[in-house]
Amino acid sequence: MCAIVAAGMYFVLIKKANEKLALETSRYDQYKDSGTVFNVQLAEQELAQARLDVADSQSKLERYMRTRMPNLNLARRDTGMIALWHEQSEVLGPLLIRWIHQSGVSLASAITVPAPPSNPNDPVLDSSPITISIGQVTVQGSFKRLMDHIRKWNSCSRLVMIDSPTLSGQSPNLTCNYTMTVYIFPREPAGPQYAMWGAAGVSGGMMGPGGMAVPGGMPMAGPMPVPGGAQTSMPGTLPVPTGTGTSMPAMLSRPSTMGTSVPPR
Amino acid sequence: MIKINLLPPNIFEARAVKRLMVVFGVIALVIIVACLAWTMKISSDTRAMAAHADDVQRLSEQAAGIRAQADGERARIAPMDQKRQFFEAVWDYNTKYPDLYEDLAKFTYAKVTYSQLTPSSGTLQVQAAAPTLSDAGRYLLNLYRATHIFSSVSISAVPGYPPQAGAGGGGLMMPSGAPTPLAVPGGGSMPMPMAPTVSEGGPATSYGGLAAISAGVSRAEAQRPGFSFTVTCALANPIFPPSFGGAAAQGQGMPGMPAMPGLAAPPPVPGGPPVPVTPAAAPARAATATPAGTGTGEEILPKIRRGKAAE
Repeated sequence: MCAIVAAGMYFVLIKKANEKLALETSRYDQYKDSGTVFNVQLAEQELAQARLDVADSQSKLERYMRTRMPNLNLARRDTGMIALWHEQSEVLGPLLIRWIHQSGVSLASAITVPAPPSNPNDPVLDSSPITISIGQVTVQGSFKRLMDHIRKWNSCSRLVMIDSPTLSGQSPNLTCNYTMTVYIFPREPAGPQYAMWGAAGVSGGMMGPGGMAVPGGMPMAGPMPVPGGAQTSMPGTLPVPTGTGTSMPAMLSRPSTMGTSVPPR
Repeated sequence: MIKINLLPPNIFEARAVKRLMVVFGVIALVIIVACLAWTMKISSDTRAMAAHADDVQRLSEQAAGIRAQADGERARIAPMDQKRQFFEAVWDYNTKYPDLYEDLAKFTYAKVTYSQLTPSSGTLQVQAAAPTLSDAGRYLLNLYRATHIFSSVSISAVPGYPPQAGAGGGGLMMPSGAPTPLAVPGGGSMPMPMAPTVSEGGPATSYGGLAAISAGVSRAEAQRPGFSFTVTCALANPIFPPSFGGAAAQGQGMPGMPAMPGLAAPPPVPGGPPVPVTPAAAPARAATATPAGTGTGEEILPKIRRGKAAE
């Protein structure tokens, strides 16, 4: 009878208590290596270092953004799009031309900046960076000046890439022909789209800033001149060398997007 | 007297049983008490262990949370670094072609003049002219030494016999309509042609008083012996434009403009297919190795310095 009592007590009380103890012991064993104050301090040091690294990367990038990018925020797509209008239609072309003149070479072709998107839902605004292909640019100068000119684009206040420069002619009037592309990183990525604005491409025409509306589907007759004057009648315009061609004939078959063409001054 | 118990034994059994029951009852009680005490001890140990486990678990989860925070911070670095590296890649790319042209200039024989340089990502095509076959050969040998710039150099066909007058690349006489030489001060790079630079549409030379003989010089230039040829060089380090995120972003732009007249890729020089010649066992000399001496014994590098001084 005592044995029965003892056995009963063991299975009813002691065994269960032992199981609970084993459970807590295994939980303790699971966390005992990582659950130390030292480990927490290490983690805090890692966090502090990570924040320092972020700040360092941020400052380096901010330096580039401040000196090479326009202040373009696309968090609100509508206002961001209008800011891009100003940048592409009013700022970029004259800036590039000014830069070319300052670099000691003469510009022998027109600088044409393509039209910005006219719909805030345009997928172009979602891309990062926004790529603006200026196309072929022709400059003239001596060999040294042309090489310095190409290198000097690295100091321009926009991120400009020069591709495949071709040299021809006779020094000191060498002709250099290259492809120019401008990259723009917006400060903030594009925000959500709005159904009210419709899908990209059906925004009611191809009207760009300062230009006339063209019904959809109608091919452009040529680039829009700089507001205020016809392309070829601007005072002080250098004659575009024969063979380099004005941009008019080259754009007759262009799809219906408008471009802002800024001739060399 | 002898004591004799005449009572039957069964009278004392009840008493014995009672005594036994008491004894076993006490034993059972003791067992119960012992088990309860044991259980209480285990419970207190369990409570203590649970408290410890709670502590270490809390600390462990705290450390894990902080590390997750640190990982989140570090995740912000990659996109920023990607943008920054793209900036630097574009700037680096912009200097590649000027560096290539200047390197080419160092290995260009003084008597060879260029009329056009057309690069692509993996090759450089050079339209050149040389007064004699020897000059063209020396020029080619110089280029073979530029193993750090080019992995292979091929030249279009050289003229045979008899030379064909007026045909580019097919004769020893330079046609009067030959492309004007790409004369570049700076030397041995793309040196001025042998004749004074009196050419149509060119800048006024510093040779004052030569106007009277400019016609004769022009005639002499028109009949200057030599031939045009095309050299195609494969770059040892092809130049590829950088792209953001590994893929070229689609951007706004107009369709590529047609090649402008006069700047289009030159037609192949008649006379046969290009003869690819790779510099076999080119000596692994330093890039600044002086090219083979010219017929006059002049070297390229001094010419560069004189050329720069002249500019």
